[in-house]
This record gives sequence, structure tokens and C-alpha cells, in this order.
Amino acid sequence: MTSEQTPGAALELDGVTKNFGSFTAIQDVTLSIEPGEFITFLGPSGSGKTTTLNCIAGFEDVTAGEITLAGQSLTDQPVHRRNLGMVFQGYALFPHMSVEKNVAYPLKQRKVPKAQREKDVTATLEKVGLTEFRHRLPSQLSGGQRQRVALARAICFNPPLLLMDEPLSALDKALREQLQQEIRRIHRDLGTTVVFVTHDQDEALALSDRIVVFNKGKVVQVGTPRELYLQPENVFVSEFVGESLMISGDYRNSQFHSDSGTVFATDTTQELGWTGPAQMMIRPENISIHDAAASADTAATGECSVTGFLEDITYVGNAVKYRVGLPDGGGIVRAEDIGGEVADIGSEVTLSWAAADARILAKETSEEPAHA
Amino acid sequence: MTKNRPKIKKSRLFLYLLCVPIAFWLVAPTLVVIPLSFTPQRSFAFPPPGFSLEWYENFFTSPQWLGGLLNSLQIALLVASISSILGTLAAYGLSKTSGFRKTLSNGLLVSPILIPAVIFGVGVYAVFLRTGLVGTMAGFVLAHTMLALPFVVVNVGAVLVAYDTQLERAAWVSGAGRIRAFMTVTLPVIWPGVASGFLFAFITSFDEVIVSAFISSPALQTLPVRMFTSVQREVDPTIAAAATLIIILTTAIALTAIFTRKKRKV
Repeated sequence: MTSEQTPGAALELDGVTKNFGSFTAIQDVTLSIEPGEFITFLGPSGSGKTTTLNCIAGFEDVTAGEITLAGQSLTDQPVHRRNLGMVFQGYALFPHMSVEKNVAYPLKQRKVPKAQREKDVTATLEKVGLTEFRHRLPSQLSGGQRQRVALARAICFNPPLLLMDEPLSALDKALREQLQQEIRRIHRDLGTTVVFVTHDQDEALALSDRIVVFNKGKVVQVGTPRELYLQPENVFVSEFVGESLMISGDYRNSQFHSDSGTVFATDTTQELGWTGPAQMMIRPENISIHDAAASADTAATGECSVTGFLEDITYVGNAVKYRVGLPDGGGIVRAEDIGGEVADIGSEVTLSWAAADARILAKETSEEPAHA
Repeated sequence: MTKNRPKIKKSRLFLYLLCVPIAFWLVAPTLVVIPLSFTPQRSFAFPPPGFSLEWYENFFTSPQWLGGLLNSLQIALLVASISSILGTLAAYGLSKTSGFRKTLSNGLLVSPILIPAVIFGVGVYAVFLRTGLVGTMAGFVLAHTMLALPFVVVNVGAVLVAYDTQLERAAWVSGAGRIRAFMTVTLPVIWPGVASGFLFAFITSFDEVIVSAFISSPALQTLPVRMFTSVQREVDPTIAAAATLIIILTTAIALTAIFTRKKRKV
């Protein structure tokens, strides 16, 4: 590389809408991405995240709205003039070119002189750990190596913006985690702005500075991984990002009334400013679980408690996950492994939590949880 | 495993017993002309009563025979080149469309294969008479290109079905315009289809006799037309020599096509 720490560029999307015939794939997407930021588009398939990425890359024309990179409008630029790096889901390596020719391809299009090209290719291959494979064809590489070549091809010209379309989805878990670390390292080294598309929430949480959650063609929340996990703004985000326990009911008088009539205290610092049908969400690790028969007294330790049935138990190494069914909902409770289960499947358990850990979310009218 | 072995061998044997006679039956009539071409007499008696290279000598010294061969080669090369370019572009365009437009264009492009050659020949003759293309190189190339185009469209189309369009997108994003991306990425990847389309087009033109018979003139004849005339008017074993040369040429082309395709697959 000639210049280390090339700063990434700011990317702005302003009211971007894309229709395919009468179908609206994305609607009014407005985002402001900082230079050098690592942003993830997260959502189920068909949520519009890939369409948005294709609009940024220029594979799709926007129906309405404006996309700017470093203050310059991209909307009327053809794909090859946008100066973007992109890693594709299926790698999209040129099968008739060696690793080195693949990586040199964008440099060649930019008319980089041969000597400089050689230097840049060598440096980039070193960065992704493929130096000894430079003369191989893509068909002679493993999946992880191919993905590294795709990454090298996308970053060798120091693009101000790097787009990644589910680049790790074809790889196994161990390799995926290893490449996630490499992508983070390369992002830190290059300082380029990254837009990463995935449907895997763990991947999104692990990689991103900020996450943009898509559902049904709209952005439903933008925030840091911590914000999305601890302060989801709607039921969709709370279900899609992380696990939770949900209770259905109504919110009024700063209290939560479950459908079956139980009243729960809520976090008084959370000013909602509305009343009506609501869901109460508590994250699994904030709930304590006890055998209902054995411990009537321990329920008093939390401010809120409820009784339900233990439906399933999953041992996950450092903890135990309990699936609990409640009269008005249910979900996951995560507890420290105490060397055995607190109760048997099918028995009654008492759940308790601090009122401050519960989050009240407005009930969405036509809610179809895409995340079972 | 060991139990199954003789069984496989038995079925293999059956396969050979069935296929060798069929192959012989298909190829034998063609191969008969090879010994005939070495006959020392002006007759088609089989087996030939001796050995001579007289008819090969005659072939390469006669302006009609050699001229016909050179005309055929020249026309076939032009036809193969033109229809490879047009057919590849057509197949590429078709791969980007869908629905009624695709069905219609595809049908039109492939129709020259389906229309009986005699009907096609009459039509071409009528039009060429008016435009002065009868008996011209341009006329032959034009007519044969129409006949050869479908083979290129079909061959290239088959390769394009398996072509990953992400590759082209990757080239665009890398900074290549549409044309450059096509030339540097798409074309090299679909090359086997283009090459076999080229060979098919070459053979289609080189073998064509019916349409050529309509549009040839004494001044400009292709080899198959010359052979057709010869077999109708005279007893001249030069035709056997010509046929032998054609067999060698087409076999070489077909083998090339088969082996390049095999090599690509590995």
C-alpha cells in the first residue's frame, strides 16, 4: 500500500426508495454513516438489506432518494465509476485468472503502472495471508482462501467504502469466526468505511460499530450493538437481536398489566409517553429462575415475579438455558449452571427480575415474527 | 465388492456387443468411399481392383475441384467468424431478457434449423436474384450465416445458463465498464461455448449443399455443390477423393471440439 490509514468516506442515504414494479423493496431509507465506521445491515431475508447494498453499489437504480459518498452524489454514477470495493456472497472470483491476476484486476482498470501494481498486489496478499498462493487458480483454493482473495481484490486499491454482501455465510463456524477477526483487523488497518450485510445477529454484534436493522423494506432501528440489545425500540428488534422473555399485555399508569391480569412495576425512569397494547421484554440473563414448589420465599428477591412452566432445558457449557411458558407469553431464561437443573421439564417455576431490567415495547399490529 | 466385479464385466461385454455393431453400421457407409478413392479405374466398383493416387492428383490439379474446396473453406471461415460474433452477442442478450420477448427472439433465431432447407433455398434464391447476390461470395456468406447462427446461439446459450452473473458485477465494481467487463471476464469464461459454436458453424457452412445449389453459379461453386453436380452428370472417382478429404477435415474438427470441451471440464 502506498498510503496507510487512508481515511474512509462518509456515506449518506437520503430517502432511498426502490420499487420493483408495484413491489416496494426498500422504502425511505435514510442513514448517515461516519467515515471509517463499520456498519452492518441486519435483517431477515427479503427485509431490503441486500437491495439497499445493491443501490449503493449501483447494481440497482434508486426509484427515489439520493446516495452520497464523501459529499459526491453516487446516484447517477455507473457502477464502475463509483470506486467501491465489494466482496460478494459467492466470492465471484474470476475463474480464469490466478489469485494474483484477480487481485490486480481493479488496479489494472485504474491504469496503475505495472511496477506499482505488483507492489500493491504483494502487499495486499501479505495482508490476507495468501502470499504463497499467488499463482494458483481460484478452483485450487479452499472456501476460506477464496474469501480472502475476494477480500484482497476489494481492498487492494484502498477504496473509501467497502461493501460486503454476506461474505461469510458459506463458511463453517470456526472459519467464520477466524475471518471475522481478520476483517476487523483489516478494517482497523485500512480505516475504510465498511457496510456489511448479514442475517446473522451474532456476526453483526461481533463486528459492528453500529447496526442498522431492516424489516420489510424499512429501517427499524439504528444503534450500537449494546443499544440494540439493551434498548430495543420495538418488538422486532428485541426478538431478532438476542433472546428474550416476552409477556403480552397493556401499558397504563406507568404499570404493565398482563393479559391475564397480573400487574408489574416498571422502570420509572423510562418515560414512554403513551399507553396501550404492549409487550414487556426482559433479557434472559436478568431473570432468576427457581423451582416454584421449593422456594416461595426467594421470589421476593426481585421486584417482579411470575410463575410459569418449564418447557425445555438446553445446556450451553457455561450456563443453562430454560425455555419457560407463561400464561401471556414466554421465552428464554439464562442461568448460571449450578451443577444441575433447577427443576424438571414440565414442573412449575418462578421467575423474578428487577423492574428496571424490563423494557416496555408497543405492540405491533400485524406482527409476524420472522425470527422464530 | 469382489462379488460384484464379474457382474459389471458381463454388462460391459453386453454393451460392447450391442454398441460395436451399431457404430459399425453408422460409420461403414461413410468409410466405403475411402478405398474407392484409391481405385485405378474410372468406376465405383467395390472393392477397387488396385491402388492409385490418380483421383487425388486430379482433385488437386482441377480448377473446379480445388477451386470448390478453396471456396468452401473461405466461405466456412467467414461464416464461422461472423456467426460466432453475432450469435454470442445474441445469446448474451437473450440471457438478460425473459418472458415473451425471450421466447419470440429465441424462436426466430433458431427457426433456420427447423425450416426445410429446400424452402429456405427457394426463398433465398428469389431474394438474391433481385439483389444480385446469386453466385457471389457475399451471397453464400449471408445465406450460410443464417443457417449457422442458431448453432452458435444454442451453444453459447447453454454455457451462459451456468454463468455466474456475479462475476460481471465483480468486474464492474472493480472499475471495468460494460464492454471491458464482457471482454475480460464474461468472454473468457464462456469461451468453450463460443469455440464449439464456431466449429459447428464452420461445419454447417462447409457441408451445406441444398441452399448452396440454388445460389451457386458456374463461376462460384462450393465443394459440396461440385460433388453433387459430378455425381449427377459423370462417373468420376475424384468425388471419392474429395469425400475422403472432407471426412478427414470434419473428423479432425469434431475431435478438436470434443477434446477441448473435455479439457475444460476437468
